Amino acid sequence: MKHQDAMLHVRGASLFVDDFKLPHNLLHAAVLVSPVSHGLIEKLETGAALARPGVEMIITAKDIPGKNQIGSIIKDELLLAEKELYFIGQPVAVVLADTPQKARAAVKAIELETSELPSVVEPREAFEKGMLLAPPRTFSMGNTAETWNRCDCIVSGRSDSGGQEHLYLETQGAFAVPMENGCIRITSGTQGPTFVQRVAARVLKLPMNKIEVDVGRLGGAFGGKEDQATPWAVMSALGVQLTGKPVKLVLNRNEDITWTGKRHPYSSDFKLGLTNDGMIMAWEVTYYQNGGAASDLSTAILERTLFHSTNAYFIPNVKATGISCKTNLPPNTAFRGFGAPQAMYVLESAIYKASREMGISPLDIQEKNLLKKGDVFPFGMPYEGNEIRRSWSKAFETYRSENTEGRIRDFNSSNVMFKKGISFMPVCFGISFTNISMNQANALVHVYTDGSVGISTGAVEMGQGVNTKIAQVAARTFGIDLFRIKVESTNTTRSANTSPTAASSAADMNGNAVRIACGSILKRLLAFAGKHLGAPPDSRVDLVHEKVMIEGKKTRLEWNELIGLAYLARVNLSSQAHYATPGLHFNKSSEKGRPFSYHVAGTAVTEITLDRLRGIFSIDSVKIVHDCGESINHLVDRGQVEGGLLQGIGWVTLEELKYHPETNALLSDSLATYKIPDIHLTPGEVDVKFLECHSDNAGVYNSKAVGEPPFMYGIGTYFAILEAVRTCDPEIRPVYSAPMTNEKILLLLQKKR
Amino acid sequence: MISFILNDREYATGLPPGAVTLDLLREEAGLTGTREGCREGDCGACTVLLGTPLQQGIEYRAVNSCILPVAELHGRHLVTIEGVNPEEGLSPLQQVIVDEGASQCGFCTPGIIMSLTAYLLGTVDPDDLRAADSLAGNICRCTGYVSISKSAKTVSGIAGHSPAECCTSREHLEWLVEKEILPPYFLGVETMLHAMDAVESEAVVSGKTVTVAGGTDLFAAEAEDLRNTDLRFLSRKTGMNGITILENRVLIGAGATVRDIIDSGVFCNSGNLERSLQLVASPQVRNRATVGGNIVNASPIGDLTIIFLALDARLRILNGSDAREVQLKDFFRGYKLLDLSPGELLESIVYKELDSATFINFEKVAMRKHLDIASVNSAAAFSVSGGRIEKADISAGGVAPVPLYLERTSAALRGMDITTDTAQLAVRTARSEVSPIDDVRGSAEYKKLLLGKLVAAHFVELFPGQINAGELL
Repeated sequence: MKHQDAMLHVRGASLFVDDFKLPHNLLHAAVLVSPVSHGLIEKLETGAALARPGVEMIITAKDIPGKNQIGSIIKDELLLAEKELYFIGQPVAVVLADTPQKARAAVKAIELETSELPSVVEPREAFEKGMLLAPPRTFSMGNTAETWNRCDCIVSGRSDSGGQEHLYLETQGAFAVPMENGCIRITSGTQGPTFVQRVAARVLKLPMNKIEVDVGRLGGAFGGKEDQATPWAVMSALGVQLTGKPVKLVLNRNEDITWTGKRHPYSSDFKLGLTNDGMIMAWEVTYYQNGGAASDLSTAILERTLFHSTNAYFIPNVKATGISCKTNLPPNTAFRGFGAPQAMYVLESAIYKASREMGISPLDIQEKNLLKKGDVFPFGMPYEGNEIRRSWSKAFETYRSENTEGRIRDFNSSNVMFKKGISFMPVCFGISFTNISMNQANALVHVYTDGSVGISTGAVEMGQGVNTKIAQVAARTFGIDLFRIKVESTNTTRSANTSPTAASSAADMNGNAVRIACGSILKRLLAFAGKHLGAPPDSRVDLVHEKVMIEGKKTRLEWNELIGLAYLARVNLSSQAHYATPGLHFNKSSEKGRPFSYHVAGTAVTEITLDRLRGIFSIDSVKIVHDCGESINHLVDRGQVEGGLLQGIGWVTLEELKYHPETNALLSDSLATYKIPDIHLTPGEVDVKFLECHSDNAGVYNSKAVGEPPFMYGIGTYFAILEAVRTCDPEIRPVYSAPMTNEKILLLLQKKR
Repeated sequence: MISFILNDREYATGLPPGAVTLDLLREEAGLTGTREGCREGDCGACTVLLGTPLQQGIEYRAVNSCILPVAELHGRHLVTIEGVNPEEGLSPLQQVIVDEGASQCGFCTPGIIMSLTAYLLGTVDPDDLRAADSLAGNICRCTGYVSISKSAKTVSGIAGHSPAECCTSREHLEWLVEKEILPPYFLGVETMLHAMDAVESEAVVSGKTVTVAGGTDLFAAEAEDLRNTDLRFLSRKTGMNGITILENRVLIGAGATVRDIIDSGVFCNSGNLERSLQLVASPQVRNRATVGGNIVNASPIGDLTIIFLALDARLRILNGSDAREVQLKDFFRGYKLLDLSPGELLESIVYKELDSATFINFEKVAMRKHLDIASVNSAAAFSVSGGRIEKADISAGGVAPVPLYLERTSAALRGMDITTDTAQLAVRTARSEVSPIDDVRGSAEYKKLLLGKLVAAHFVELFPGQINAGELL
């Protein structure tokens, strides 16, 4: 089944926020932001800018009618700065003008004078100074302190991972138009329409029912538009409220990269204890999360880090502490994996370090400690599947049958200038929002009298194919052809109080709501059909391939006619349904519970070739065995695995955020200086095998979430490079500081010489 | 008025010559299928086709509309995604993208289709690898490119071998129309273009006039300012883009694009140079970026400049009807400072054709291998006789305020036997004569180290039998 949106995409006919035809009185907004990473506004004079031709209004904090507050979990972020400035890119004023060029030119004409205060950009320094976004949290199990003396090998050290720019191809943007009676309709490029609605209502001092938020589709998001699409949408709405005219605000690339938050950099201390035969006995880790200047989603992200501190392994004694540190960078935010990649990277660093210390292959440690069904995670939930070991075995089977180890050994012994390295990367990722209350979704389904179907849910299509899956769920539930189904835009007037499309769970939850809604309509239709066809009461009536069946026998009645007749008979052809993921609970004081409805597991085997002379590498192959449950759509799921993998590879090898050492200004602030993977970086071979399996608690129709887990397969590339470096010279001490850029590789190779 | 054919109809715009084509398309013409991703030619979401009428036929090239000034459209055929759509349904190319799942969020998809279309328009004999290479300037954040690579391969198979001899011919267009890769109106465009009155007057040049060659750097850096500046477009000047070989001298017009050099084959017997040109920017940028622009821009890491330094090239500079020549290595006076007076114009670049005793190699390491600016690049040419280096010319980029000719290294190698020791001498000398700085492309320490490695790589690549590569690691 093809991606339903792709038919429009290939013709250039799909509409993104900046593509809509808007009324001629449209105003374009541009934003003045803080030029300093920490300071005070000493003077803010807008007169000269306001006097420029085409400029309609300049909005500052004092113009806000409601609360100047856009924070989500913790209310600690202003829409527009009042006195103190906390990061470069923090919005200060919004200019409304009749063209984007005039608006941006007027921004430059605003007189903003600031004084500077000392700033902090490193999380450990922030921690030292007591600058925290929230109190630290610790997950523990067993007793690590009492275990160390039973370990034969203990390794400790530090592991760092860098931030990552989302680089969704469509930049942040929104437009808002005035409706009657003071209502405002916002079209936003957001993953969370309800959040935009809630914050707009708060800032504009309107009830939520006067704010309508509509989302057609996003040109990529990856978490970057979960919370951080909100300010631009709210500014547009505020502009509408203050001028009575439509307002559009679309960031250009430079603005987007410079002003918005990224994946959190982490700096972590670890200590791992093992027995001589490679059993992991104890694991202690402290994560210093670089949260940026406001909390955004940092605390939730840190929580997911803690939930994944042991990844796919069973460790009996664990103490994992997470600290969200407040720094003077743009507030860091959700990004595919949501804190789990950082956790997994630290543990793999420790395992790799132990393997070197013990003189054994990392595979030996990894395999020995993989989770078995019933093993308990540090947060008290037992592992309910067996897919981790199954995926590992399947991946290892290929590795062995292709004699990969021997082939690489031969290559390395006969090549001086090039060396190959290989790694295994098992991934175990929990599915559900860790905030239990967010695990709910709703759907509104209409069957029209011509037999066509319209579906609204809270899911936002951002390329991940959720609308395609939802259409498939509806077609399958009804027993009708897919062409009849249209998935509508995501709109707060049709789907209220929805969770953002995030946590990989949109298809699971919204799909289930659609299944329930379609099921209710179907039940009414079948009851009517049975009666209409004169079937005896209690007959089994079904709809299969658009035909009504009675006791398994085809009748003359088909979908179209059935709908027409049902309407005339006054059968309700619409349904709204709600789905709440069952069986979830978590106690934050004991840090124990069952926060996930299931886990997604898989294993990636990565092979790279290192060019020793130049200090560069290429990825020969990544072979993945991935658990997708009973996939609804293999093409879509495969695309998620491949796309997630390459983003993960980008994170650990290529994508490096660089800041000015004195001003803290972002230096890698464009596509010319911040490089993301291109077609040539793609591994020579990407082989994705799906582990077809049945799980009791999986998502809709026993499929499984697929958005985030594959990202973490990319981590394997880091350790494959370390392996190749080891082959060059076992005396070179590995470094655990992602990304492993070409620069780091060459400097590392040179260390011993 | 700037007049051209936009997809299937004539179009005239009153926008200033320095406005960019992307804005014309989205804001004036209302064609929103062409997307803004970065506005600096680094993502390819805004890729369009630019068709230039030749004596016979039309030459189509993929270009980034975000850095293409509208002046360049005059008398040409501009094709957007809307212009390759069949009336109904999908073209086979579009269908492949759908079938392979090669479009997720879809923002980059029109650009990818335009690049693949340009590839098919630019060859009569498509092959899988080159089809995928044609997408080196298109960034996708969703798919991981696996499905896109597959699509590229399938597409080249669908197009197949064209019966046309030349890709700019009408016959080739007919082939692609028959394959339904292009809509039929393409066959009428040549007539439409010839019927247009596309003559233009030479621009009046004032002291404030900015000279634009390909514009790929200028418009990436300062398009907003250039919108309302007096501009002189060298591409409209005839006779500046020729590539000729005369009496062992290769003469390349300053207006020749990187693509022109690739197509001319002038580098085909010059070590790895031909292949290395694939590492210069992206296909879209190579279709516009010129030799002259690369040199005059004076970027310390310009790939072409580094190559021409090793070729010991000379520049021919015009001042009205006067002409003078200068050694390329003497042309750079300091960071972005040139031996070029106001009123002077770089006309062409000349170097001695490589003989069979001269060996040349180019090396480049960047953060990303393709479509990236080098951390360090280097080229080396060695004239060899009886195992000895008669003459060496080695250049290095990214290690000084200017594209650097490694004077001392080149001199130190003269008369030396080709041995591992000589290579090591070259590495040491090269490192000692550069002073890189820390910047976004790498630390000074790294760049110095890397330069040594790239100098070593010249020896490893050119003289594998005469040196012990392992000792150069």
